[in-house]
Amino acid sequence: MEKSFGIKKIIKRIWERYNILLGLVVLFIFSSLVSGAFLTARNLLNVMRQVSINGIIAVGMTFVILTAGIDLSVGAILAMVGCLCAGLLKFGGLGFLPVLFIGLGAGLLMGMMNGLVITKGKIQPFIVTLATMTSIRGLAFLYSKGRPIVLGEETPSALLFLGEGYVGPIPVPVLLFLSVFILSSFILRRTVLGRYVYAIGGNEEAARLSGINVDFFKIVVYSLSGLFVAVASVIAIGRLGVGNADLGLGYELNAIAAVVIGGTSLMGGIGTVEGTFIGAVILGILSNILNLLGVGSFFQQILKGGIIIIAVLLSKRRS
Amino acid sequence: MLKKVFLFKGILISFFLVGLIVFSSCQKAEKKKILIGFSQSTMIDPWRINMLEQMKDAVKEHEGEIDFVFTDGQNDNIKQISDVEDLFSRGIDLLIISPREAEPLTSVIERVFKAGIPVITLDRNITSDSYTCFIGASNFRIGEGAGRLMTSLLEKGGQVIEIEGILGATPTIDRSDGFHSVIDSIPGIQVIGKQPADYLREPALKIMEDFLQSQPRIDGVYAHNDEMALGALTALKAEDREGVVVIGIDGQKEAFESIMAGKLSATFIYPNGSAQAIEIALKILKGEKVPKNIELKSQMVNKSNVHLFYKPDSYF
Amino acid sequence: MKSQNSPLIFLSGITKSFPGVQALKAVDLFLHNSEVLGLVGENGAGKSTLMKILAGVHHKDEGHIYFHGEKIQFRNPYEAIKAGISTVYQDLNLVESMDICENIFLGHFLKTSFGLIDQKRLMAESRKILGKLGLDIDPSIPVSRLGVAQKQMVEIAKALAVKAEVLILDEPSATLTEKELKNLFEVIIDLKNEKMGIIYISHQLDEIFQISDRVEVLRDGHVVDVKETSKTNREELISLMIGKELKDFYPGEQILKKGKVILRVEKLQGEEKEASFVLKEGEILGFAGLVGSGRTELMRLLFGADKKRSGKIFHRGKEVKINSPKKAVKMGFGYLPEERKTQALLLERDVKENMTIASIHRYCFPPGIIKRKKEESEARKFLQRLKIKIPGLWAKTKNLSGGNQQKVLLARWLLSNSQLIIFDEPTRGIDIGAKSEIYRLLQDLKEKKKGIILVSSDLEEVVHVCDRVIVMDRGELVKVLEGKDKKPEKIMHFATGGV
Repeated sequence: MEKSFGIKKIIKRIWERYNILLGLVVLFIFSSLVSGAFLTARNLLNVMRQVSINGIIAVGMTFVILTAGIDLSVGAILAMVGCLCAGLLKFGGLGFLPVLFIGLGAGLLMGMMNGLVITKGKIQPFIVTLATMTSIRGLAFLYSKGRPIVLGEETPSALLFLGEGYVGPIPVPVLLFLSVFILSSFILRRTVLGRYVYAIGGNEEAARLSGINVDFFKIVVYSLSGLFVAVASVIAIGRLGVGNADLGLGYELNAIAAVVIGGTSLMGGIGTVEGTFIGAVILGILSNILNLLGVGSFFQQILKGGIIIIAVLLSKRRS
Repeated sequence: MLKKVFLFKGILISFFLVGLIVFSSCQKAEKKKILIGFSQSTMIDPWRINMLEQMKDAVKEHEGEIDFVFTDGQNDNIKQISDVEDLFSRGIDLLIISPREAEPLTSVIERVFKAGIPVITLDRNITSDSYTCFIGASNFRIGEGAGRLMTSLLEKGGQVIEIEGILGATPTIDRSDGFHSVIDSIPGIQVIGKQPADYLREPALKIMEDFLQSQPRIDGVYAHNDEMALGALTALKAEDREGVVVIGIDGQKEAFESIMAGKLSATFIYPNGSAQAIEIALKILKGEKVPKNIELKSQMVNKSNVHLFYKPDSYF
Repeated sequence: MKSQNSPLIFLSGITKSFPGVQALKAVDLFLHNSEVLGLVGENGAGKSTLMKILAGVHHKDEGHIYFHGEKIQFRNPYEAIKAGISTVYQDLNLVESMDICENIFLGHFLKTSFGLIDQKRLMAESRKILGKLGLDIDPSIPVSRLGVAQKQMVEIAKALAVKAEVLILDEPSATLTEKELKNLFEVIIDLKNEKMGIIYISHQLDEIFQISDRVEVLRDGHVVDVKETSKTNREELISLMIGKELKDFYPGEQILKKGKVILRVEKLQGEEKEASFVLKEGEILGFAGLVGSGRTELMRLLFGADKKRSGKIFHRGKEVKINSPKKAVKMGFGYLPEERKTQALLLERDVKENMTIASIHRYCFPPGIIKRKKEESEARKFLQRLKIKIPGLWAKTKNLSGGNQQKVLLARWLLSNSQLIIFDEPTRGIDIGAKSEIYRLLQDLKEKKKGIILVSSDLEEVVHVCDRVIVMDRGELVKVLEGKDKKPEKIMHFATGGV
């Protein structure tokens, strides 16, 4: 060890370990330099708020991917929970709190269903969640009769607060995102659940032979993903004032993108929510700065794809 | 472990830096030209691309006066909200927006409007009156027009297929409701099937193929746009079904050509109003008074008048 | 015998360091045509690194490589293979989903004049090569359907297919049965007669004595000695390898103290035949037999890893239902599976996590939340107790030597306070020093009155370490040997269908 110190090696090591973070810093500095509008409190808070929904979903997705799974149904669950909450508020005559709990419970339940089918049916997560993605989306259309459930003036103030409110200068969605992030970080670092998630993703057979009830913890992880999606969904309908069955189309891919940019391996067992956090913020800043610069939308999409590839290349070299 | 701690600290440090820079900086940008921002809801259908292209053309006529930026909401309300926020951060002088949906975009548009930025809503309006001017045609009325046309073309009654746009989207709902408000009261005509094809040609083709298998008698097809009408026509042609009334909406070049060839029965031009939007924008910024609502008239186009509208070099 | 002209391969002054480790220090090695060179040394001695440099996987820092007297430098493994140096690695490099013949000719498919793969010739050539290896299998079946031993043969066939001049065999015998090994030796002698130079790496010194002409001993990255095989002996080699006099390789004489019965298994049956046996406190019970005799299957059944069809398990006199490993762990069972890397280790996680994964609840307060200091101090205790030589608890297990990996896994079960530990091939692929330590630890556990089951293909090991040996043949428990009957020949006799 002693011999390997040297400025070059230190720089190399720092680069290898923290390149995602450095990527964020570089993007941040670049953005500040090229656009005067970027580096304002208002814009940055906006960016963070924009990131919140995808960020929360991506954190849940990180758990799933760490167990070497995938959850394609997050966008559909987002829509279903949104429709359910809006419908119950508008037609069900329920107060905000019961609706909130029903909504979160529904998200949890849908995730749990994913987990149950995956573990008990022994079907690949990709296939199961591909199927539930379609079915749950259909269920949302059925429930909403294909029309937006407009809350408008009837939006409870508490819901409005979750979607649009501020605590001091910080938007509430950002606070919720940070809470979910910090909680998840704690779970992965300091709890038995976190240990097991890494163990299952790293080597499922080894985990099983160490006495871990693998099926149970997989179900927990998918439930957690569903629950986090439900939290994001509440924020979304708070912002939109509408529960709509076409909410969150393609969000599963945004979430997976954030997770992958954050250095988590799709093979499972390797990765952190901190990386995912950075990944989500990078995607948010990228979209923001490209809009600020007036870059055409088609080009934006090409760039985002490129960024994902670069990020994966970097994290590959790292490991 | 060490690595993770470092990463975590890194995040905290970067937050700190962000905060530091935020509070020590303020925006100083000098502008000569006026900056108009346009938030388009999606760019996946040709009608909306045409809208943007025509708007760019209108801007070109005022080169030197106007700077123009646009964003693409990618068919996602939440993305479009972010776009409006970004345009606002950018410091636009006026916002033109074609909201993907009314209710979700209302709040963010209100915020922009209340900050003193004039707002022109295009094609679709918002639910409050926090906008300067709305320019658009009525989908409901076009739907009514299509319903009346279908009724008159199917004098002896008949069985009609409705090919819908994106489920849950406002124009889909309005085009459908308008159509049904007329057709449902006509006893001889029944809508025997309806399916969404997302305003796209290829899904419409498949849906029509399926209907042709399951329904021995189809007299009319009402498609929520021309793309889907053209898809349905392809399926009809493959099965050699003739004399079926097919009505589309939008008035795109290919639809006109199809009318001239005697295939498509009729279409309703759905004006995008983008040229008007730029004119109105300039008026607003010069302090002139503009009407709060400008309704664009739709025009039914069939074989008798198609030559008046067909422009071979048009984009759309 | 040996051609005395310039060597086929001459490595001169090879030096190589990895971050923080000096892997090789000025190592010399030469190999003639028609010669088998045995390469021995403990794990970490540098054997693998040296061979990987020769095979183009690693790049040397200093020194020279001469091939046919010419100075060469391989930039990648492909160049080395093309030049005629093939390596068969211990962890096989086969594409499981592809056919045998495709694997054999992977990277240099025989093509027709149209540039398409010539399936017919591929099959014919593959058959020829497999025939040479005495392997009568259809080359068109996928590799995934082969047993470990057969897969290894396919690896060797791969080298033959490129007409290699130098063949490096890295622990080829680890997974072979007696018969297959004999077969391999015949093949090696054939190849030798065809002027090939062979480097044979093994921990099994018996094999070195059987097959090699010369033997080179490495220790801590340098050459300790090179001997004519006929002029040295086992004891000398071991001393050279571990750098000290060898005594008490198998510690202690096995005295079976009368202990209570920990485990009684009655007519336990899964996919194989019924099995019944008894294990006592402080006893090491051996399971011997050929590869595929059903030993591992029985252990997995006992541990709840596979579904049992029928039978009863009594733990300290009480019948217990073990239908999952979780239950087994709860009962105080521990299991070190045969395939460390795929079935036991969390390779990407650190040593501490690997040690505590089965007992994590013990370091939690409130439930579910890990108290890291407690966890760390407990893990550290075993780091010292088992003499695990690693930089620290944070080291990833994938970077550890086989012996240390095995000790980490043992620590896992000691931390979870297991009373009954199943060791499945614990010393496979482990160097002599670590082996001797594992034996010492087994002795230690025995004295602590734990019940131990040892599954092993190493007959010497079974005989010397175990109190009783159960011999298995084709899924059946055929004989229990103890006392004077406990001899390698007897085990072999019953394991191969004798009565």
